[in-house]
Amino acid sequence: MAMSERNLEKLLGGFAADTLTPDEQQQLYSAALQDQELFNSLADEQGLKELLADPVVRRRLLQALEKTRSTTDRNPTSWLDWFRRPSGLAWAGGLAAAIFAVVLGTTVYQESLKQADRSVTIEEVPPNTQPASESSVPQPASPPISEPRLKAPTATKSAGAPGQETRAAKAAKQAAEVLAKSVEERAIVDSELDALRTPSPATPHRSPPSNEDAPDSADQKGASAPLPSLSVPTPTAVPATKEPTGQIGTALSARSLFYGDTAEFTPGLMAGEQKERLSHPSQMGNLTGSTKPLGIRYNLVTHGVKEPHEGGDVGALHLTNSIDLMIEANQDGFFHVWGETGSQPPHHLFPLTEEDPIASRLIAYQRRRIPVLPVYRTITIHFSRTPFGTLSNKDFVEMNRVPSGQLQESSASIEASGSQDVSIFVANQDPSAAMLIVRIPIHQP
Amino acid sequence: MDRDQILTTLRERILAFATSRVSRDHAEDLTQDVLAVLHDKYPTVNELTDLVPLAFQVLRYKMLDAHRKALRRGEYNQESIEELPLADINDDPVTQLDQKQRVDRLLAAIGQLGERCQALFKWKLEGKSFPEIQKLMNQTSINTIYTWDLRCRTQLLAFMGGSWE
Repeated sequence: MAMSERNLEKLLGGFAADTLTPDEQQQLYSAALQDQELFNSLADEQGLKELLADPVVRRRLLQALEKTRSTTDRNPTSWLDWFRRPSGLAWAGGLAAAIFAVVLGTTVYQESLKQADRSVTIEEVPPNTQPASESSVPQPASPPISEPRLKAPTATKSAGAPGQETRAAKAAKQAAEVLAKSVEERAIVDSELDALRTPSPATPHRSPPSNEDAPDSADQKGASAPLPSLSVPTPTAVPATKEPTGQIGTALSARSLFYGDTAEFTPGLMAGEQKERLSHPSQMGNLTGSTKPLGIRYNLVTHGVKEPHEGGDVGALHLTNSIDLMIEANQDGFFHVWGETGSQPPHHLFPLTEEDPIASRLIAYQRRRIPVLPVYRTITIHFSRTPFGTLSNKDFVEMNRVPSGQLQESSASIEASGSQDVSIFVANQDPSAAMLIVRIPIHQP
Repeated sequence: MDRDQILTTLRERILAFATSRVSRDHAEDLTQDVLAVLHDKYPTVNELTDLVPLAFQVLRYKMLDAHRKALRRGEYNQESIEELPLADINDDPVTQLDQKQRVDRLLAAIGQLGERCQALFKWKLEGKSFPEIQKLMNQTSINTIYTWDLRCRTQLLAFMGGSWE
């Protein structure tokens, strides 16, 4: 075996242990005689060689090595030593973190599944309880209202057909649907609440819904969909098949409606109104006013002798001198006053300029006085939540039809001066009605 | 290379080595003593592989003896030979203590070696040659064993404090 002189240093270990082969010894010693450095190294190694040549020392060293090796073989690394190492600590920490993450993730997942099931159950409850509430109301059943609701769980069941998906997958799917639905509803409610906080003075005109505009079953279904975050009573809590007008008029009075008695709203119209609100979130500024029926209070003050009319028309007066029309409303709005002489076409009495929304503005519960010349046989008051546009006489005649559901009530009170003050309350029991039209006949003396 | 040539070369190497450790005069004395021992006591040893390790062994003994003499300098020549006690055939206590300390240091140093170095050292103590260790360690090249052994030896020497003594 040929080795360079420099590589012969590698044989020094064999020299000390006296394990060199004769060939290696020949090469090493020949090189040592030629190389002083290698010779010095061998001379220094002689001390170790002598030490290792002692059988006692060699046996002790072997025993020590055997002991170390047997310890390593039997128990390569005890758990304690393994944990003391940084790598062991890192592994243990990582494993613990992984186990913790798995446990936490499983728990959160199960909780989400439970919550999703709970939400789905809550969502499925109204269709089951709705027939009971409907049955308690002696109104004719309205199948189109309940049918779509009953279809909802059916659709849910069909979506989760057994055998096609696992239970966990179905639950996750339902949870995702519920979550998306709740987020959408939350967005609607948030926008609604924002609109409530900052009502806009310039609200778009909404035509009052008539009986024909009463919401159909599909609309009622949309309006009666549960809104979890709404604090107002949802339409599902009240019978949804009541007719909007003319049926609860006996229980309501124009005076109570004027002063804000809103406990007996017709749910059908309310559902329609809610549907309209949901479809036009930007018009939420009218939410407060729309939940309160339009109402005005007026009386005619005659300068001189005031005699209540004894005829059938409530509020008709015998004119003895000039008249002041005192009017106030239960909410902010706009009003026009028209006068009719009988032979002449209707004449615009107030405001002087029809397109003056500021002058025609009527602040809630602030009485306005409108002087009326004693030449008119009838004066007509139009009160609306929204400003009026320019009306021609033809338009006036066409829109002069008194809206349905409008209640009128007179109330007489004795004033401090001893005179009797007769006030007329006019209100529409339909909270969604956007306009009041009051015709006041004036009896000439 | 015959015996005379080997001894001549050895003398040069021994003198150079001794000069690096002790003074020049002492180095020459040491070299002369070593060669005298080889010449007088081992006249039949002719082989290179026998003479060189023998020369290293004698050189070490002579250097240790010179070290002891240096420690006892002044007393060595003042005492008469008659007053000296008989020499003990065993090592003196100082030598025994020195050897014990070296063994302890060696044991501690070996304990600090890695597993492969310990295995290598163990097989060498068992008398296994490098080719045998090569087979035991399943290495295709014996140079790998040489390299590993050199590294292990360097580590062991470092753990011993840089010297085998």
